[in-house]
Amino acid sequence: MSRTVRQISIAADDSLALPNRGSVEPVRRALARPRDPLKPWRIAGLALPFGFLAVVEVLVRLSVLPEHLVPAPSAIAQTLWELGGVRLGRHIAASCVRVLAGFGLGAALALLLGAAMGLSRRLDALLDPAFQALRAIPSLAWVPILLLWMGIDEAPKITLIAIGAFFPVQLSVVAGIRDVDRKLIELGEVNRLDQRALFTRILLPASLPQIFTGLRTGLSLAWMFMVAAELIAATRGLGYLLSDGRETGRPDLVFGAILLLALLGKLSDSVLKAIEAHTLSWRDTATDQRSSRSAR
Amino acid sequence: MQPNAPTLLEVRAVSKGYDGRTVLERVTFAIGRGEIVSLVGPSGCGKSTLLRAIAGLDRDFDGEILLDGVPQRGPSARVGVIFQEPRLLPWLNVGHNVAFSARPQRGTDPRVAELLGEVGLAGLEKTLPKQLSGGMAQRVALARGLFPRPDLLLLDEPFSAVDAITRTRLQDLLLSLTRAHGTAALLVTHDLDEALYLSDRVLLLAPSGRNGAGCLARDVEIAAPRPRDRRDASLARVRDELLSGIGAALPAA
Repeated sequence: MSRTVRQISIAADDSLALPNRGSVEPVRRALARPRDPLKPWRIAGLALPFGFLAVVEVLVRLSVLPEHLVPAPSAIAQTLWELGGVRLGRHIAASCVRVLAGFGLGAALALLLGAAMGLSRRLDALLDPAFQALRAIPSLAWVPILLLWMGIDEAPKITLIAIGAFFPVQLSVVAGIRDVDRKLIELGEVNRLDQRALFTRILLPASLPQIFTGLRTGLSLAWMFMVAAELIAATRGLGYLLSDGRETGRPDLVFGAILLLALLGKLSDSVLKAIEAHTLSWRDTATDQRSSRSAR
Repeated sequence: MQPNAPTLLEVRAVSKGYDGRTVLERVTFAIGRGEIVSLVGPSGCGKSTLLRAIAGLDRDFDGEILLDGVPQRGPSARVGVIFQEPRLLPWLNVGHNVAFSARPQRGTDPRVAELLGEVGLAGLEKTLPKQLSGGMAQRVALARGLFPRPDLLLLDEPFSAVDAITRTRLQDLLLSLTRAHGTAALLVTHDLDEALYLSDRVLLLAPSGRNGAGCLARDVEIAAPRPRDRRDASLARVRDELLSGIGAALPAA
């Protein structure tokens, strides 16, 4: 029997859905991006915080809210403006660099250890109890130890942030690898993949959705731990601005730092979310269809 | 076995037990090159267990499984497996799914386009699995199974999850593909009509062994000429014979 291409007869008869034209059509439809019926709601969602700030502004101006406790948003903006672009930039940059370094370090370690624990049940049994105990330690409890060991430089701050980012990522990697469909692993066996190929071609891509969830949780924890680190011992950064504002009795400074933290947290999460959406575009989930199907 | 087809697969006295319970008892049969054989029988009689042993997914059995006279234990590149579900990797496009067994992964193997054309999905290389219907996905799975040029395709109820019309079309596709590639096929199915329409031979597994372990109860050659009419009277006679075989093997309900 020859192995040349044959036009299989059923593919040529066009009575039923699957062959040529019929089969391409649903694909086209799926590829065409529908207009987003939720767009006005999304815009309103972005506008909502600004609306809230406007209401606060009015209430403060009308003296409904006491100005020494709740500064008017315009006063906060003026404070930040007076701080000056360079100084403000230095505070923001200091915090961002710490978060990036700590998150990068913690997440990278968590990916390695999590993968090892996900692949080896022995290693998981060995390390999991210790990790559970370490995870239970509140972030502030680490601070005195890290200060004792590492002084008051960057090292203890970055280490604290790394600790915060580590656990959610590590958990998600272990769970992701464990939850991979046995049927896909069987497919790897049938195709005689070795351990390494099984990991890179099936286990890792299949657990990426969970890993991304862990990374995003880890990133938000990194911001939290950054503030904890800077509240204690820092001469720069948004956490320092917070404690400085408290010590000098300036709520406008405190609120300014809080607003900046909200903005930066949201911004960094959006970046990670965009990477996630791009990397996981193969997922067949409700999220990319919800907008078009059920606009509730 | 077909008269002049040299033996491809031999299953010799294969037995299998789980937790002290025997599931398969001394099953012996052979399949010739290019032959299409169906494995039927009541559920729980060990059909899928047997298929998993031949596929190499289960190495823990007694007896021997030989491919061209060479004992096998573990997956072989010469045996392709089609599961009940397509099991496409959702993060790979159709083309990469078809070429999944290629190592190292090649970008554009001309055989991918060739095979996709043969299964009626020409030009869909870049499509993601989530955009395919169930029948289309199973066609991709067929192309993936054939990509490494196997001598034998194992199919575990491959068309049971699709609608009736798609099923008959996939059955015809399987026939033309195995003919075109000279591939033998061993098909587990619970659909007697499917078995009769597709097969050169039908093997009946029945729980007639000790404690209801699966044994080979019948080995029936289907002589009806091809292309077959699904309502062929001679097929109906074989059907009755197989049904009485199942009935005789089952304890009274």
